[in-house]
Amino acid sequence: MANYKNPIEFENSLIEIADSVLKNRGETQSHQKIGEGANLWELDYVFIPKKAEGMSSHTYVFEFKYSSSPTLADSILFTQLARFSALEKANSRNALRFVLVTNGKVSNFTLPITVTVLDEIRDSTDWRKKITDWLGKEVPAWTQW
Amino acid sequence: MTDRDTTNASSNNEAAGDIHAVDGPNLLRPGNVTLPLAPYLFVSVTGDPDWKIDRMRLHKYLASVASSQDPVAEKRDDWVGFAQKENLMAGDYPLTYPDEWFRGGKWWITASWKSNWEVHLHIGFVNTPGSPHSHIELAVQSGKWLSKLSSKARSWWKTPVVQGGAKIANYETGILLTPRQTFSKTFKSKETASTAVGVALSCLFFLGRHYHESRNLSYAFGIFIASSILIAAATIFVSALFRHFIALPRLKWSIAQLQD
Repeated sequence: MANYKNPIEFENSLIEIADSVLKNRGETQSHQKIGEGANLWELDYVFIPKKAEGMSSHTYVFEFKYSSSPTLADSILFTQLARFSALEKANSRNALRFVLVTNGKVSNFTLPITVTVLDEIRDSTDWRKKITDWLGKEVPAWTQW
Repeated sequence: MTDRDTTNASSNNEAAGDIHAVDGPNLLRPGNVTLPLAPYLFVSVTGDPDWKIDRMRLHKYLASVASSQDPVAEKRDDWVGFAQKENLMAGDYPLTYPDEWFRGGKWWITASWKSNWEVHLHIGFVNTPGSPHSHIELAVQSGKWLSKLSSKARSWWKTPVVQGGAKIANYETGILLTPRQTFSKTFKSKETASTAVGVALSCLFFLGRHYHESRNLSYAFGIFIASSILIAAATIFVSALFRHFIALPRLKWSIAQLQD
Protein backbone atom coordinates (compact mmCIF):
# COMPACT_ATOMS: atom_id res chain seq x y z
CA MET A 1 0.00 0.00 0.00
CA ALA A 2 2.83 2.31 0.87
CA ASN A 3 4.34 2.52 -2.55
CA TYR A 4 1.51 3.88 -4.59
CA LYS A 5 0.51 7.33 -3.45
CA ASN A 6 -2.68 7.84 -5.37
CA PRO A 7 -5.13 6.13 -7.73
CA ILE A 8 -3.71 7.79 -10.82
CA GLU A 9 -0.16 6.72 -10.18
CA PHE A 10 -1.42 3.25 -9.33
CA GLU A 11 -3.43 2.90 -12.49
CA ASN A 12 -0.79 4.29 -14.82
CA SER A 13 1.82 1.98 -13.43
CA LEU A 14 -0.48 -1.05 -13.72
CA ILE A 15 -1.40 -0.27 -17.32
CA GLU A 16 2.20 0.23 -18.38
CA ILE A 17 3.28 -3.12 -16.98
CA ALA A 18 0.16 -4.96 -18.10
CA ASP A 19 0.92 -3.74 -21.62
CA SER A 20 4.49 -4.93 -21.46
CA VAL A 21 3.42 -8.37 -20.28
CA LEU A 22 0.25 -8.88 -22.30
CA LYS A 23 0.59 -6.87 -25.48
CA ASN A 24 2.29 -9.54 -27.59
CA ARG A 25 0.00 -12.21 -26.20
CA GLY A 26 -3.19 -10.76 -27.57
CA GLU A 27 -5.26 -7.62 -27.91
CA THR A 28 -5.15 -5.13 -25.08
CA GLN A 29 -6.93 -1.89 -24.48
CA SER A 30 -6.94 0.52 -21.61
CA HIS A 31 -9.81 2.84 -20.69
CA GLN A 32 -12.25 1.25 -23.04
CA LYS A 33 -15.43 3.30 -23.17
CA ILE A 34 -18.66 1.51 -23.89
CA GLY A 35 -22.26 2.60 -23.89
CA GLU A 36 -23.28 6.20 -24.03
CA GLY A 37 -25.16 8.93 -22.27
CA ALA A 38 -26.15 8.08 -18.74
CA ASN A 39 -25.02 4.50 -19.22
CA LEU A 40 -21.42 5.21 -20.14
CA TRP A 41 -18.96 2.69 -18.81
CA GLU A 42 -15.23 2.81 -18.70
CA LEU A 43 -13.38 -0.46 -18.42
CA ASP A 44 -9.92 0.02 -16.99
CA TYR A 45 -8.26 -2.66 -19.06
CA VAL A 46 -9.42 -5.32 -21.48
CA PHE A 47 -7.32 -8.26 -22.63
CA ILE A 48 -8.29 -10.75 -25.31
CA PRO A 49 -5.65 -13.47 -25.65
CA LYS A 50 -4.63 -14.78 -29.06
CA LYS A 51 -6.37 -18.03 -29.61
CA ALA A 52 -4.22 -20.95 -28.61
CA GLU A 53 -5.07 -24.39 -29.87
CA GLY A 54 -7.55 -26.31 -27.79
CA MET A 55 -8.10 -23.33 -25.54
CA SER A 56 -11.45 -21.74 -24.90
CA SER A 57 -11.25 -18.03 -25.47
CA HIS A 58 -12.20 -15.49 -22.87
CA THR A 59 -12.27 -11.75 -22.72
CA TYR A 60 -10.63 -10.50 -19.55
CA VAL A 61 -11.88 -7.30 -18.01
CA PHE A 62 -9.54 -5.73 -15.46
CA GLU A 63 -10.57 -3.22 -12.87
CA PHE A 64 -7.90 -1.34 -10.95
CA LYS A 65 -8.95 -0.19 -7.50
CA TYR A 66 -6.67 1.89 -5.38
CA SER A 67 -7.32 1.59 -1.68
CA SER A 68 -6.05 4.12 0.81
CA SER A 69 -6.96 1.88 3.71
CA PRO A 70 -5.16 -1.44 4.27
CA THR A 71 -8.26 -3.42 3.33
CA LEU A 72 -10.40 -2.63 0.32
CA ALA A 73 -13.86 -1.42 1.40
CA ASP A 74 -16.65 -3.96 0.99
CA SER A 75 -18.74 -1.35 -0.76
CA ILE A 76 -16.07 -0.97 -3.44
CA LEU A 77 -15.69 -4.71 -3.87
CA PHE A 78 -19.43 -5.34 -4.11
CA THR A 79 -19.99 -2.42 -6.44
CA GLN A 80 -17.37 -3.86 -8.77
CA LEU A 81 -18.83 -7.35 -8.55
CA ALA A 82 -22.28 -5.97 -9.34
CA ARG A 83 -20.92 -4.05 -12.31
CA PHE A 84 -19.15 -7.10 -13.60
CA SER A 85 -22.11 -9.40 -13.23
CA ALA A 86 -24.23 -6.92 -15.22
CA LEU A 87 -21.51 -6.73 -17.87
CA GLU A 88 -21.30 -10.50 -17.98
CA LYS A 89 -25.03 -10.81 -18.55
CA ALA A 90 -24.97 -8.23 -21.32
CA ASN A 91 -22.09 -9.98 -23.10
CA SER A 92 -22.78 -13.65 -22.63
CA ARG A 93 -21.13 -14.51 -25.97
CA ASN A 94 -17.78 -13.12 -24.93
CA ALA A 95 -17.30 -15.47 -21.98
CA LEU A 96 -16.08 -12.66 -19.75
CA ARG A 97 -13.63 -13.05 -16.94
CA PHE A 98 -13.12 -10.36 -14.35
CA VAL A 99 -9.83 -9.49 -12.70
CA LEU A 100 -9.97 -7.09 -9.78
CA VAL A 101 -6.57 -5.60 -9.02
CA THR A 102 -5.96 -3.61 -5.85
CA ASN A 103 -3.13 -2.47 -3.64
CA GLY A 104 -5.28 -3.21 -0.61
CA LYS A 105 -6.28 -6.54 0.81
CA VAL A 106 -9.55 -8.07 -0.29
CA SER A 107 -11.69 -9.55 2.48
CA ASN A 108 -12.43 -13.20 2.39
CA PHE A 109 -15.79 -13.46 0.67
CA THR A 110 -16.87 -16.25 -1.62
CA LEU A 111 -16.43 -14.89 -5.11
CA PRO A 112 -18.04 -16.04 -8.36
CA ILE A 113 -15.83 -18.42 -10.35
CA THR A 114 -15.51 -15.89 -13.18
CA VAL A 115 -13.82 -13.46 -10.81
CA THR A 116 -10.14 -13.37 -9.92
CA VAL A 117 -8.68 -11.06 -7.33
CA LEU A 118 -5.07 -9.92 -7.47
CA ASP A 119 -4.66 -7.96 -4.26
CA GLU A 120 -1.92 -6.42 -2.16
CA ILE A 121 -0.09 -5.14 -5.22
CA ARG A 122 2.60 -3.10 -3.51
CA ASP A 123 4.78 -1.92 -6.36
CA SER A 124 5.50 -2.47 -10.02
CA THR A 125 7.82 -5.44 -9.44
CA ASP A 126 5.07 -7.08 -7.46
CA TRP A 127 2.53 -6.41 -10.18
CA ARG A 128 4.78 -7.71 -12.96
CA LYS A 129 5.26 -10.94 -11.05
CA LYS A 130 1.59 -11.38 -10.19
CA ILE A 131 0.29 -10.68 -13.65
CA THR A 132 2.89 -12.98 -15.21
CA ASP A 133 1.90 -15.75 -12.79
CA TRP A 134 -1.75 -15.06 -13.53
CA LEU A 135 -1.13 -15.31 -17.26
CA GLY A 136 0.72 -18.59 -16.84
CA LYS A 137 -2.12 -20.03 -14.83
CA GLU A 138 -4.88 -18.64 -16.99
CA VAL A 139 -3.37 -19.45 -20.37
CA PRO A 140 -1.02 -22.36 -19.64
CA ALA A 141 -0.02 -22.83 -23.30
CA TRP A 142 2.09 -19.70 -23.02
CA THR A 143 4.31 -20.80 -20.25
CA GLN A 144 6.24 -22.72 -22.89
CA TRP A 145 7.06 -19.57 -24.87
CA MET B 1 -4.64 2.45 -29.40
CA THR B 2 -6.40 3.42 -32.58
CA ASP B 3 -9.32 1.29 -31.49
CA ARG B 4 -10.63 4.20 -29.52
CA ASP B 5 -12.31 5.69 -32.61
CA THR B 6 -13.73 2.37 -33.62
CA THR B 7 -15.12 2.01 -30.15
CA ASN B 8 -16.92 5.31 -30.30
CA ALA B 9 -18.23 4.73 -33.76
CA SER B 10 -19.55 1.31 -32.97
CA SER B 11 -21.17 2.27 -29.72
CA ASN B 12 -23.68 4.14 -31.87
CA ASN B 13 -24.43 1.00 -33.77
CA GLU B 14 -24.85 -0.71 -30.52
CA ALA B 15 -27.57 1.70 -29.48
CA ALA B 16 -29.38 0.86 -32.68
CA GLY B 17 -29.23 -2.78 -31.73
CA ASP B 18 -26.69 -3.62 -34.44
CA ILE B 19 -24.09 -5.05 -32.15
CA HIS B 20 -21.84 -7.26 -34.14
CA ALA B 21 -21.84 -5.59 -37.52
CA VAL B 22 -19.00 -3.09 -37.18
CA ASP B 23 -17.21 -3.74 -33.95
CA GLY B 24 -14.29 -6.02 -33.51
CA PRO B 25 -14.28 -8.63 -30.81
CA ASN B 26 -13.04 -5.82 -28.64
CA LEU B 27 -16.25 -4.01 -27.94
CA LEU B 28 -18.49 -4.99 -25.10
CA ARG B 29 -22.00 -3.92 -24.35
CA PRO B 30 -22.74 -2.03 -21.16
CA GLY B 31 -24.93 -3.82 -18.68
CA ASN B 32 -27.76 -2.75 -16.45
CA VAL B 33 -26.46 -2.57 -12.96
CA THR B 34 -28.15 -1.78 -9.68
CA LEU B 35 -25.92 0.40 -7.57
CA PRO B 36 -26.70 1.87 -4.16
CA LEU B 37 -28.90 4.88 -4.76
CA ALA B 38 -28.97 6.07 -1.21
CA PRO B 39 -25.99 8.19 -0.20
CA TYR B 40 -23.46 6.70 2.16
CA LEU B 41 -20.12 7.48 3.67
CA PHE B 42 -17.29 5.06 4.03
CA VAL B 43 -14.79 5.66 6.80
CA SER B 44 -11.87 3.40 7.52
CA VAL B 45 -10.28 3.71 10.94
CA THR B 46 -6.84 2.19 11.37
CA GLY B 47 -3.97 2.26 13.79
CA ASP B 48 -0.65 0.47 13.60
CA PRO B 49 -0.63 -3.32 13.28
CA ASP B 50 0.43 -3.81 16.91
CA TRP B 51 -2.46 -1.72 18.20
CA LYS B 52 -5.82 -3.02 19.18
CA ILE B 53 -9.15 -1.25 18.98
CA ASP B 54 -11.32 -1.44 22.07
CA ARG B 55 -14.52 -2.84 20.60
CA MET B 56 -16.73 -1.83 23.51
CA ARG B 57 -15.72 1.79 23.31
CA LEU B 58 -16.22 1.83 19.58
CA HIS B 59 -19.56 0.12 20.01
CA LYS B 60 -20.68 2.84 22.43
CA TYR B 61 -19.50 5.55 20.12
CA LEU B 62 -21.34 4.12 17.11
CA ALA B 63 -24.46 3.77 19.18
CA SER B 64 -24.20 7.39 20.24
CA VAL B 65 -23.84 8.58 16.66
CA ALA B 66 -26.83 6.52 15.58
CA SER B 67 -29.05 7.93 18.27
CA SER B 68 -28.93 10.02 21.38
CA GLN B 69 -31.49 7.80 23.12
CA ASP B 70 -30.66 4.23 24.05
CA PRO B 71 -30.05 2.70 20.68
CA VAL B 72 -30.21 -1.02 20.31
CA ALA B 73 -27.74 -2.88 18.18
CA GLU B 74 -29.61 -4.50 15.32
CA LYS B 75 -29.40 -8.17 14.48
CA ARG B 76 -26.84 -8.97 11.80
CA ASP B 77 -29.39 -11.05 9.89
CA ASP B 78 -31.66 -8.06 9.53
CA TRP B 79 -29.08 -6.04 7.65
CA VAL B 80 -29.71 -7.42 4.16
CA GLY B 81 -33.44 -6.74 4.39
CA PHE B 82 -32.69 -3.24 5.58
CA ALA B 83 -30.20 -2.69 2.74
CA GLN B 84 -32.80 -3.80 0.21
CA LYS B 85 -35.42 -1.52 1.66
CA GLU B 86 -33.09 1.47 1.84
CA ASN B 87 -31.63 1.26 -1.66
CA LEU B 88 -28.23 0.10 -0.50
CA MET B 89 -27.79 -2.85 -2.83
CA ALA B 90 -24.98 -3.32 -5.32
CA GLY B 91 -26.50 -5.93 -7.61
CA ASP B 92 -27.22 -8.91 -5.40
CA TYR B 93 -24.90 -7.71 -2.66
CA PRO B 94 -25.68 -5.34 0.18
CA LEU B 95 -23.20 -2.50 0.45
CA THR B 96 -21.31 -4.35 3.16
CA TYR B 97 -21.73 -7.36 5.46
CA PRO B 98 -21.28 -5.67 8.82
CA ASP B 99 -20.28 -7.29 12.08
CA GLU B 100 -22.58 -4.95 13.88
CA TRP B 101 -24.95 -2.18 12.93
CA PHE B 102 -27.17 0.44 14.43
CA ARG B 103 -30.30 2.18 13.32
CA GLY B 104 -31.28 5.45 14.92
CA GLY B 105 -33.94 7.99 14.05
CA LYS B 106 -31.70 9.66 11.53
CA TRP B 107 -28.60 7.60 10.84
CA TRP B 108 -27.69 4.02 10.23
CA ILE B 109 -24.14 2.90 10.95
CA THR B 110 -22.35 -0.34 10.25
CA ALA B 111 -18.97 -1.59 11.43
CA SER B 112 -16.92 -4.39 9.86
CA TRP B 113 -13.80 -5.61 11.54
CA LYS B 114 -10.98 -6.18 9.12
CA SER B 115 -8.46 -6.84 11.87
CA ASN B 116 -7.85 -5.86 15.45
CA TRP B 117 -6.52 -2.56 14.25
CA GLU B 118 -8.72 -1.78 11.29
CA VAL B 119 -12.43 -1.20 11.26
CA HIS B 120 -14.61 -0.06 8.38
CA LEU B 121 -17.65 2.09 8.96
CA HIS B 122 -20.46 2.77 6.54
CA ILE B 123 -22.87 5.52 7.43
CA GLY B 124 -26.03 6.91 5.89
CA PHE B 125 -29.46 8.39 6.48
CA VAL B 126 -32.42 6.30 7.47
CA ASN B 127 -35.44 6.65 5.16
CA THR B 128 -33.71 8.69 2.50
CA PRO B 129 -36.19 10.10 0.05
CA GLY B 130 -35.19 9.89 -3.59
CA SER B 131 -34.00 13.48 -3.57
CA PRO B 132 -30.55 13.97 -5.11
CA HIS B 133 -29.84 16.61 -2.48
CA SER B 134 -29.60 13.99 0.16
CA HIS B 135 -26.05 13.30 -1.06
CA ILE B 136 -25.10 16.85 -0.32
CA GLU B 137 -27.09 16.69 2.90
CA LEU B 138 -25.07 13.71 3.97
CA ALA B 139 -21.79 15.45 3.30
CA VAL B 140 -22.94 18.58 5.11
CA GLN B 141 -24.59 16.95 8.09
CA SER B 142 -21.96 14.33 8.73
CA GLY B 143 -19.40 17.14 8.74
CA LYS B 144 -20.62 18.07 12.21
CA TRP B 145 -19.35 14.91 13.84
CA LEU B 146 -17.04 13.55 11.16
CA SER B 147 -14.57 16.34 11.75
CA LYS B 148 -14.25 15.19 15.35
CA LEU B 149 -13.98 11.55 14.45
CA SER B 150 -10.21 11.34 14.28
CA SER B 151 -9.75 12.89 17.72
CA LYS B 152 -12.49 10.65 19.13
CA ALA B 153 -10.88 7.68 17.47
CA ARG B 154 -7.86 8.11 19.72
CA SER B 155 -9.83 6.82 22.68
CA TRP B 156 -10.83 3.61 20.95
CA TRP B 157 -7.51 1.88 21.36
CA LYS B 158 -6.73 -0.71 23.97
CA THR B 159 -2.99 -0.18 23.80
CA PRO B 160 -2.34 1.64 27.09
CA VAL B 161 -0.64 4.63 25.57
CA VAL B 162 -1.31 5.46 21.99
CA GLN B 163 1.58 7.38 20.55
CA GLY B 164 0.53 9.69 17.80
CA GLY B 165 -3.00 9.86 16.52
CA ALA B 166 -5.26 7.20 15.25
CA LYS B 167 -5.67 7.54 11.56
CA ILE B 168 -8.70 7.95 9.45
CA ALA B 169 -7.12 6.17 6.56
CA ASN B 170 -9.86 6.75 4.15
CA TYR B 171 -12.91 8.88 3.78
CA GLU B 172 -15.15 8.26 0.87
CA THR B 173 -18.66 9.26 0.11
CA GLY B 174 -20.80 7.51 -2.41
CA ILE B 175 -20.56 10.74 -4.32
CA LEU B 176 -17.78 12.77 -5.78
CA LEU B 177 -17.50 16.35 -4.60
CA THR B 178 -15.36 18.64 -6.68
CA PRO B 179 -14.67 22.23 -5.70
CA ARG B 180 -16.06 24.79 -8.03
CA GLN B 181 -13.86 26.09 -10.79
CA THR B 182 -11.28 28.77 -10.06
CA PHE B 183 -12.23 32.38 -10.38
CA SER B 184 -9.84 32.91 -13.29
CA LYS B 185 -11.65 30.19 -15.20
CA THR B 186 -15.02 31.89 -14.69
CA PHE B 187 -13.36 35.17 -15.59
CA LYS B 188 -12.15 33.83 -18.93
CA SER B 189 -15.31 31.99 -19.82
CA LYS B 190 -17.32 32.83 -22.95
CA GLU B 191 -20.47 33.92 -21.12
CA THR B 192 -18.58 36.55 -19.18
CA ALA B 193 -16.92 37.86 -22.32
CA SER B 194 -20.18 38.08 -24.23
CA THR B 195 -21.91 39.98 -21.40
CA ALA B 196 -19.06 42.45 -21.48
CA VAL B 197 -19.25 42.79 -25.23
CA GLY B 198 -22.97 43.48 -24.88
CA VAL B 199 -22.36 46.25 -22.38
CA ALA B 200 -19.48 47.71 -24.38
CA LEU B 201 -21.67 47.82 -27.47
CA SER B 202 -24.56 49.63 -25.79
CA CYS B 203 -22.10 52.07 -24.32
CA LEU B 204 -20.69 52.62 -27.80
CA PHE B 205 -24.14 53.44 -29.11
CA PHE B 206 -24.78 55.81 -26.26
CA LEU B 207 -21.58 57.70 -26.88
CA GLY B 208 -22.18 57.52 -30.62
CA ARG B 209 -25.43 59.40 -30.28
CA HIS B 210 -23.84 62.18 -28.27
CA TYR B 211 -20.83 62.30 -30.52
CA HIS B 212 -22.07 65.15 -32.75
CA GLU B 213 -22.68 67.43 -29.83
CA SER B 214 -19.03 67.62 -29.04
CA ARG B 215 -16.91 70.07 -30.93
CA ASN B 216 -13.64 68.52 -30.03
CA LEU B 217 -13.78 65.37 -32.07
CA SER B 218 -10.54 63.79 -30.96
CA TYR B 219 -11.34 64.57 -27.31
CA ALA B 220 -14.76 63.01 -27.60
CA PHE B 221 -13.35 60.05 -29.41
CA GLY B 222 -10.74 59.54 -26.70
CA ILE B 223 -13.39 59.58 -24.00
CA PHE B 224 -15.49 57.30 -26.07
CA ILE B 225 -12.75 54.67 -26.49
CA ALA B 226 -11.46 54.96 -22.95
CA SER B 227 -14.84 54.68 -21.33
CA SER B 228 -15.81 51.79 -23.57
CA ILE B 229 -12.72 49.91 -22.52
CA LEU B 230 -13.16 50.81 -18.88
CA ILE B 231 -16.78 49.84 -18.79
CA ALA B 232 -16.10 46.65 -20.67
CA ALA B 233 -13.31 45.74 -18.26
CA ALA B 234 -15.38 46.57 -15.22
CA THR B 235 -18.29 44.61 -16.60
CA ILE B 236 -16.16 41.57 -17.31
CA PHE B 237 -14.94 41.64 -13.76
CA VAL B 238 -18.25 42.31 -12.08
CA SER B 239 -20.16 39.80 -14.14
CA ALA B 240 -17.47 37.18 -13.51
CA LEU B 241 -17.66 37.94 -9.80
CA PHE B 242 -21.40 37.59 -9.87
CA ARG B 243 -21.34 34.39 -11.83
CA HIS B 244 -18.60 32.93 -9.72
CA PHE B 245 -19.97 33.68 -6.29
CA ILE B 246 -23.68 33.79 -6.82
CA ALA B 247 -24.83 32.14 -10.00
CA LEU B 248 -22.55 29.09 -10.04
CA PRO B 249 -23.12 26.36 -7.47
CA ARG B 250 -20.54 26.21 -4.74
CA LEU B 251 -19.90 22.52 -5.18
CA LYS B 252 -20.46 20.28 -8.10
CA TRP B 253 -21.39 16.79 -7.21
CA SER B 254 -21.99 13.51 -8.93
CA ILE B 255 -22.31 9.92 -7.93
CA ALA B 256 -18.78 8.66 -7.89
CA GLN B 257 -19.59 5.01 -8.19
CA LEU B 258 -21.72 5.54 -11.25
CA GLN B 259 -19.00 7.51 -12.97
CA ASP B 260 -16.37 5.00 -12.24
